Amino acid sequence: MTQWQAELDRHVLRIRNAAHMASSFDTPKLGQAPRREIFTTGSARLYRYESPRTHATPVLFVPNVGISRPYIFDLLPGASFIEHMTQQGFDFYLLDWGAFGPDDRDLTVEDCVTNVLPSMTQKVLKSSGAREVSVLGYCMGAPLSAAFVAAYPEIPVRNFVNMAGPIDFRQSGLFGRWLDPKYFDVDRVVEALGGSVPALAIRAGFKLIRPTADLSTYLNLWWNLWNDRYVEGFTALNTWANEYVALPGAFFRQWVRDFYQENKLYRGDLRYGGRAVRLEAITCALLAVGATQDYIAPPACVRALIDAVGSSDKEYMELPGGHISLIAGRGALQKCWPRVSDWLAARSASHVATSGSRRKR
Amino acid sequence: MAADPVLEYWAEILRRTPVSPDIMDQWKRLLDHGIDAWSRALSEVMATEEFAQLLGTSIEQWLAAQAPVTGNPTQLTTLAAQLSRLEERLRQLEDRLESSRASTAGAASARTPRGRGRRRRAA
Repeated sequence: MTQWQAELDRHVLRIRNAAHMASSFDTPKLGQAPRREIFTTGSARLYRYESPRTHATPVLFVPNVGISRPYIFDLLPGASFIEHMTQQGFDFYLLDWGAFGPDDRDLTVEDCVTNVLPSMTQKVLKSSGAREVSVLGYCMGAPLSAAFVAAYPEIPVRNFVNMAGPIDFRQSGLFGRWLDPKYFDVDRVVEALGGSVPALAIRAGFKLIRPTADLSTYLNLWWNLWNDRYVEGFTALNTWANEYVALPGAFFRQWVRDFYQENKLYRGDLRYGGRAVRLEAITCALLAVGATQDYIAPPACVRALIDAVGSSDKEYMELPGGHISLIAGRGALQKCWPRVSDWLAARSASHVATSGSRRKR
Repeated sequence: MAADPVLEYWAEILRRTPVSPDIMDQWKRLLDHGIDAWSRALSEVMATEEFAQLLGTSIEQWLAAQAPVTGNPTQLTTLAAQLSRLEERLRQLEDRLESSRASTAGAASARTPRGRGRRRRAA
């Protein structure tokens, strides 16, 4: 009887919250961690987040290009990867690639690897006053960062973390299969789409990879609708999940051809800015993190980085979750973030000299 | 006699679903397992060569259907240039018609000034 009473109480709360969700047009406040813009080039921006800074080695976080906005990493207070990292004492920098418009249609992967990433890293070093930097790449940001670290040995990268970033594209799952050159003519697609890949097309691709995801999401929402905390998290995540970002056509062409179709990064055939990009040239400490339920970057395709690099200090972790839940949301706070921050803390310069920017003040 | 595949499917889902004393919880678990089974089945289908081929064909057809509607930047530029030329030709034709009408009217009025004047008055 008490069980039925409890369920009835939950139903009342569900109806109340459902009515509130349906009638409310308030958007949740996302990305609240205090930050300062350090540098901008093209659509890309570099942000520095305030922290007590107990580790001297700053962290440059490189997320995916296009597709979605990076405020997922600073979703809500208490459910923010950036907040976690700053609380752990890391001087944290986020590279926001920006929302692309028609002016960006000629931006290529090569531009990102040979122009944007080197200049952003130099700005991090200058702003922090540090001699070395840790680079943390997520999703598409990880192979791009790997290409940059491999091609620029003169830039002092102390640690490299690949979080859910595909490396061996032969093992890249459904996207790898669908983008097979036998069936997918990337030039024709980009041309027909007018030179860039619109947000709607990207949304369609990501919806197709998990056709039952929305059903699951809304079933879980109904189940947890009585829980205000869950509803708050859902609303925040849902706002992010419905904001897709277009991809520049030239970038998409190079991304699909060089990475998915020809697997050049893993095979060592990539050459950007006149430099050879060979993963064995990466010799810094390396951590690769895969998610067991990741459909976008399956664990095997992430793990491949471990055997490809020249580093002696290297580790692979496979954590529960999917591509997004690995790094976003409250579950990640228990399962993933402490593992990553502990690994980095053990390998970052521990003292803390006064940073360059602070000396100036 | 072969069993009904739908019944078999749900029986399998029920077998796999952990038992909970909470009825609502049991119902939720059943749905979760059902969706999970569908997801795995769909993933298997979508991972086949045939599906990739079908998807490629669908994208091709969609692009072909979109092309006349959206056009690419080159096509749009060409179309704009053609429209501009067409506009120019229309303007020229208009000018010619105007001048032709003016000369015809001039010639006519020179020929029958009285007649026209009478008609106007009558009106």
